[in-house]
Amino acid sequence: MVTTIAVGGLPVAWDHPRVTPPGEILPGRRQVLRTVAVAAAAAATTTVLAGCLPGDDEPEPPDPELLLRARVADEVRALAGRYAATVERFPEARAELATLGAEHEEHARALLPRHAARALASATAGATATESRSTSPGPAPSPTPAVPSTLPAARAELAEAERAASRRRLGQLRRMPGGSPELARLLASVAACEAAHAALLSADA
Amino acid sequence: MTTAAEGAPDGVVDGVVDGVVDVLQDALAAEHAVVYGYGVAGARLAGRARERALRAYDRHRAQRDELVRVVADRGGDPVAPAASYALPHPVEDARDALALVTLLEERLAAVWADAVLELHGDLRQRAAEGLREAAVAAALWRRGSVPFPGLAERSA
Repeated sequence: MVTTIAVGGLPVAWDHPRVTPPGEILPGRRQVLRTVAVAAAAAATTTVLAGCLPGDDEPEPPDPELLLRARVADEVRALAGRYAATVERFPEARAELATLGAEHEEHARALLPRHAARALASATAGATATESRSTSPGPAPSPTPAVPSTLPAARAELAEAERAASRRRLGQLRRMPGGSPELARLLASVAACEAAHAALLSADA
Repeated sequence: MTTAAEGAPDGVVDGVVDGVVDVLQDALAAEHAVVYGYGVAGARLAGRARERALRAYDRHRAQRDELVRVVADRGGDPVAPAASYALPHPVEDARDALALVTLLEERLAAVWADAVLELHGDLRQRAAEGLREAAVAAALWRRGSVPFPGLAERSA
């Protein structure tokens, strides 16, 4: 049985998420405003990126938000690399760890979509390294730390790396240039995912 | 849908309160619902799961009380809990209870994620913390991760 409840005067449908998309807890006016805000933020990002496209005789310096997206994308790829190295050392943990690592690859793609990576490469002097990074889905360029010799120790180290990454993400959120709402929301979600990974790795150890 | 022409937006009292209070009221309303849900779910859980649910219940009550203070400090009239809440599905056993608390935390994560979108400064950080706590709780209840907690448009 599914009925409707009132939260703060607003009707709230507590349907199963497979029936109703998530986010229905507070539908109505505010949801509409949010959707508009997200669309506007996405449009603004496109405009910013357009300013970095090649074609101008004097390319403008990369937008600070784009640089932040690129830096965080590098960091989450480095995390994915640590998972890959751990799975290589402990194949028996692949089922769990590969899933978590793949989520960081998703973070990187969301933070720096292909068109944004190209824009950054065009706007960055000495773009060779950036170009290769943006066109190949391989591991992060930074060296991956050595994997501990036991699986529990390796899991603990991954958990600590996730915790540190989550803290770092919230710091990046606080110091964000400009204050793009869309990127802020994405960074906060990535931070939440990293903290959840840490909790899962610690809980099951 | 409410339009501006129909009167002052929710939460505005004599022009003192801005849109920030609307966002905080959304979070407070969600916390009211989550507190209620944990009360229901806790009754169907046993052992360690029940202990964890009780700790979560206390944590959400504290967050609810904090939000009541923050809304009041900004001149708003904190929303009250609903007289009753209908559940998304019957909660008759531990499995139902775990599904309920997972769903509650996921929805709370979405509310805080939207708050990040609309808030700035310390309140934005607070919203990010709220999203993080809800995402951690949801992951532990479901014993699994999702890549983008709180972001409905990126959920598979």
